[in-house]
This record gives sequence, C-alpha cells and structure tokens, in this order.
Amino acid sequence: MKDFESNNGWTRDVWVFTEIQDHERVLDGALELLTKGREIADAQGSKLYSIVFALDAEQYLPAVEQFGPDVILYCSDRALKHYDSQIFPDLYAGLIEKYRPSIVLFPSTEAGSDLAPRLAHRFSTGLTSHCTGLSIMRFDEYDRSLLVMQRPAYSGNAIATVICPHTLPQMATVQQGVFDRKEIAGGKPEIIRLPFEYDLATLRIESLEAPVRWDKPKVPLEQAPIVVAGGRGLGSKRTFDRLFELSGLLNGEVGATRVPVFNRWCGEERMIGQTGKTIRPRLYLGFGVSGQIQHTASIIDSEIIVSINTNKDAPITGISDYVVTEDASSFLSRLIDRLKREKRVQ
Amino acid sequence: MLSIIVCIKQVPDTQKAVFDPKTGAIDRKSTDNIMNPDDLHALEMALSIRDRYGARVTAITMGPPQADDVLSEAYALGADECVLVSDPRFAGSDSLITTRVLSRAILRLGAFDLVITGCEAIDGNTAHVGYQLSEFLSMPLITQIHEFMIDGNHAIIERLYGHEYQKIRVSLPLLLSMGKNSNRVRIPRLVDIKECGEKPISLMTLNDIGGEPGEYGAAGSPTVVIKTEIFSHTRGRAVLEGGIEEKVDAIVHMLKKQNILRF
Ligand SMILES: Cc1cc2nc3c(=O)[nH]c(=O)nc-3n(C[C@H](O)[C@H](O)[C@H](O)COP(=O)(O)OP(=O)(O)OC[C@H]3O[C@@H](n4cnc5c(N)ncnc54)[C@H](O)[C@@H]3O)c2cc1C
Ligand SMILES: Nc1ncnc2c1ncn2[C@@H]1O[C@H](COP(=O)(O)O)[C@@H](O)[C@H]1O
Repeated sequence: MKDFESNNGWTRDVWVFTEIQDHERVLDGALELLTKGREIADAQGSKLYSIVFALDAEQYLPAVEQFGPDVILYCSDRALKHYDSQIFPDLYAGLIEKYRPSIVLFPSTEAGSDLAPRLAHRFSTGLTSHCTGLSIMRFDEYDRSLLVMQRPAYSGNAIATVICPHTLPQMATVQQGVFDRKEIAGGKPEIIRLPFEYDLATLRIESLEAPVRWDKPKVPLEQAPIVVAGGRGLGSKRTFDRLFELSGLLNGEVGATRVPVFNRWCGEERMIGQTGKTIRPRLYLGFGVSGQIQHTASIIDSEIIVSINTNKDAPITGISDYVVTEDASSFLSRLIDRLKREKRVQ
Repeated sequence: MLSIIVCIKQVPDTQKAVFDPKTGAIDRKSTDNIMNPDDLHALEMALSIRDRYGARVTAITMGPPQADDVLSEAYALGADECVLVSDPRFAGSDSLITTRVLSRAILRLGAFDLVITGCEAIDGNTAHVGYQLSEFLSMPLITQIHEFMIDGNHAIIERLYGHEYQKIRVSLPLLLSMGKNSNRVRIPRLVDIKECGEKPISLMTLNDIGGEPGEYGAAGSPTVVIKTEIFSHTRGRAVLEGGIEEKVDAIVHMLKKQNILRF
C-alpha cells in the first residue's frame, strides 16, 4: 500500500458525525463520541469538529456545545429530517474533501453503519466497525501517530486491534454505550452554517407511504439504568411480557437475547449483544439467559449482574454478582409480587 | 427475464468454532465451514423472486478454491449458475478490497437487475460489503425488507427504517441486503443435492477481473490488524441459598442496599 503524503493538505482534526435521533434529540452515542473525540484531539493537539445534519438543526447546537467541540459544522434542511443514503454521503464526502480531517468517527447506528462504509469507499480508506476502544499511539515504523482501534473479533471471543496506517481519513464506527460522556463547561465553539445545495431530482428512492411509528422503548436501552433481560429460558411470549411489569416497577427497560427477538416475543431494538446493543446499566437482571459470549460481551460493564437460571453452571453465572438457581418465570412472578407489596407498604 | 446475482461467503461456523485459547483465533482445522447464515436468506430472496417473476440466479463467491463448497450448496438450493472468484493474490483482502474484487467480477458478468447480499458475515461482522457495493456499482441499497414486489422497471418495497415502517419505490438495477428476519430459507431436495456436485462452477481470477496485483489482497488493504487477544471476565458469583422466597428476599435486600429500589 502506498503511503499518503503527510502534508497533502490533511489536518490532524477529529470529526464526529453527530447524529440526530428520531428528529428530536442528539443521539447519546454521538455525545459519547464527542467526549472520546475530545480526548483524541487533545492527545494530538488538534481540533474536534462536530457535524450536524438535520431539519431545524439550530435547536440541537446548544446540547452539542456542552461536549467540547472546537468547531460545529451544520446544515439544516427539510431533506435532512431522516437519514438519506444518497444525500448524507454526498454532503459529508464534500466536507471531508474540503476540510481534510484525519480521523472521522461515527456511532454504529443504522445511519452511521450506512454512511461510514460509503465514505471509506469514496476515499479508498479503511474503516473499523463496532469499535469498543479508540486511542492515539505513536508508530515509529510509520513515523506518525495513528488511531488505534479495538473491536470484537471471532464472534466476540476476542478483541482485535486495528490500524489504518497508509490512507486517510482513518475511520471508525462505535457502539453506543461504550464510552462515557462528559460535559465540558465554558466551551465556545466556532459555529459554521453550511448552505444546503442538493439536486433532489437525482434521488432514486421515492417514498410512497409516510413512515409509521413503531412500538419502541421509552428510553434507548443504552441509557436505561436498569435492564431486565429475558432469554429462551422464559419459554413463551406470555412470560416474557411479564418482564415489562418488572421493568415498570424498577423504572427500567426490557432487554433480550437473540432468542426472544427471533421468536418475535419482542422487537429487535431490545436485543442486547454483538448484533444488538451494548449496555452499562447499574443493574442487569438476566432471566433464563445462558450467557453466550455474543450476549455477555455487551453487558459485562453493568455494575451489578444477577442471573436467574435453572442450570447452576450456565456460563452467565461466571460473570454474575448474584446467582439465583430457580425457574425464571416463577422467580419473576414472585419478585413482581414482592415489589408490588413493598411499593404499597411505603 | 430478470438477472439476479447473489453474493455468498464461506465462513467458519463461529457458533461451533474451536478457539485457540492463547491467540483467540479460530482453529480452522477443527472448525467446519458453512455458508454465511445471512447469505442463505439472500439466496432465498433471489429464488423466491425467480419463483414469482422468472429470473436467472447467479451465485458468486470470492474465496480460496475450497470455497466452491458453498457454490455447490447454492446449486443444491436452486442457483442457475455459480462463479468462484479466486486468486492467491486476493488473500488477506479487507472489506474494502473484497468489495473491489466482487464489484469488478459482477460487472464482468454482464447486465443485471438485482444484486443481493447478506447483511453481515459472521466471521468479520463488518457489514460493509453491501454498502460499499452500492458505492462501487452506483446503485441504491435497500435493507430491512419485509415485502418486495416488481412493477415493470421498478421495485416496490416495504421495509423497516429505524423504528418506522416505510414503503418505497425504486428503479432497477438495485442492491438488496438480507438478514435473518426477512424470510424463511427453503430446504434443498435430495435429488438436487445429488446433482449439484456435477454442475460446473466458473472460475474468475485477477486476470479476468483486471486491475493491478497491488490493488488487491493484504497489500491493497487499508486496514492492518496488529493484535488479537482472547478475553475473559469473572465476578463475585454469590450463589443465593434457601427457598425461592428467601432468594427473592436477598435480591430485594440487595436492590435496597444499592439504592436501586427507592420505595
Ligand atoms: C454472530 C453471532 C452474533 C450473535 N449476536 C447475538 C446478540 O447480539 N445477542 C444475543 O443475545 N445473542 C447473540 N447471538 C446468539 C448467542 O450465541 C446465543 O445463542 C444467545 O445469546 C442465547 O440466548 P439465550 O441465553 O436466550 O438462549 P440459550 O442459550 O438457549 O439459553 C437459555 C438458558 O435458559 C436456561 N433455562 C431454561 N429453562 C429455564 C427456566 N425454566 N428457568 C430459568 N432458566 C431456564 C437454560 O439453562 C439456558 O441457560 C449471536 C450469535 C452469533 C453466532
Ligand atoms: N468473500 C465474499 N464473497 C462473496 N460475498 C461476500 C464476501 N464477503 C462478503 N460478502 C457478502 O457481503 C455480505 C456482508 O459481509 P461483511 O461486510 O463481510 O459483513 C455477506 O453476507 C455476503 O453476502
């Protein structure tokens, strides 16, 4: 692979695709990424850029400012209300061409997972997806500092460390919930409004029916302080549904392994794991979850893990703070009864 | 008649894989190879479109010579034609380069209406190839499909978009990515399995798809894996004793102590 010219106009700046979720708020994963981006930019003495594309984008800027970008580039238009896999990559590629950041980060949401590989193709550069670790390290053999990206490998049984030493920008997508977010007081970023110029007549996908709202969690799973998760051991949708009663009592959210999702006991947005979400709640309660690595790698940073499983040697017990060897549905209904009683007593 | 190309990949069966405890790498000798699960759904999509509208289905894979196993499987499931894209100079390609190889090979196959891929391969889990093919081939990619209809030169598709359902109309040619929720995979008939070993698999090499050797394989790949480590975690493992009510007690007590239960 031929090396890029180090002074070919590329800056050392770090960009974060600051995604707007459901056209109503800044995605938490994007704020986490800004915090991480700040750390990376500081480590190499460069600037952090936040890129916002949205309808009425101005309303999100105050929230973004709290997370320490040096520059906010934003574009506001009706056509940017939903992620569009033609408009967003075209606009973003144009900006990268113009501003030349050397590190470009995305949340690994549906939009980020679409945008990032497209841009990697346009710049013939590398992309590492679903990263769980990002840092800057000096590499003497390449005579420069590089972004060091860590991601699960071999179905989550291992962690691979990846670099992109010859091409720019270096690109990564990051699971939500992996990094902390930290507000930074007193930052006054430079704010640049970009004109929206796009020939909408070139769009090939025509919408026939306006999207219809789907049943969704009250807060995204990644943000829920308490997650009660169900697996195959709950046996049926009927018992799985009782998790909602428990989560209601605890003020949490319901999560699942892949099995309930496949059985259509619940929607895909509740799946925790390698193909789902990464969570870090205060409390994780797993009912009838065996604890395969594809699931547990994404719950391991929970503060407290409790497992309820008939098999006292199920793999999940190895990562549990509390092991309950019981039938999941009986324990679930006893716990619900008990909490209801507790609630009434107070 | 429609022309449909399906991208399938041979992958180690990661669910049953044997891992080297030191490096975390898959022990390829003791692990079976299978067709990537999502790609079965991609092939199913192609076959069901053929059933409804008539089509010629070509399965294509890039991989080492033994990857022709998945092509035989594709024949057994009903593919009309199979192409193996294989060259030692492709070894070590990352997702960008894999897509470069596939897209150039696809363009050599002649005009097509649909290219169908799986969402994600279970060995790399990058889910890049579909999006990058969309870029290389300059055509839209549609994911998360529930309903698919052909209407003249257009497809009418119902799909999930984030939390929302969406109905769209888009002109052919077009790319589709299929996941496990999209359809139910058919089971091959015994007679097809018997015959599939005899059907010819065409081979394409670097010479057929064109380009310079330096554009391919590890040499052409922008990403470099510098380390792979296996990881493990352990915790307190306090096993709760007694009857079920005592265990409920213990959990409720813990929730209070941790200030999680505030009533
Ligand atoms: C590439 C890949 C990606 C994957 N991604 C994910 C992912 O993102 N998320 C995910 O969750 N999985 C994922 N998986 C699947 C994962 O490997 C497991 O198959 C899945 O997590 C198992 O779910 P489970 O624990 O519900 O079911 P099982 O493994 O079948 O376990 C059920 C458990 O319930 C217990 N049980 C049975 N009856 C009872 C009872 N009455 N009371 C109490 N306990 C009972 C059993 O002892 C057992 O431990 C992935 C797999 C692959 C190959
Ligand atoms: N070597 C390959 N040969 C054929 N198809 C592939 C190959 N690699 C990836 N694909 C296709 O791209 C999809 C996504 O793969 P990936 O981006 O590697 O997760 C797969 O489901 C396949 O349909």
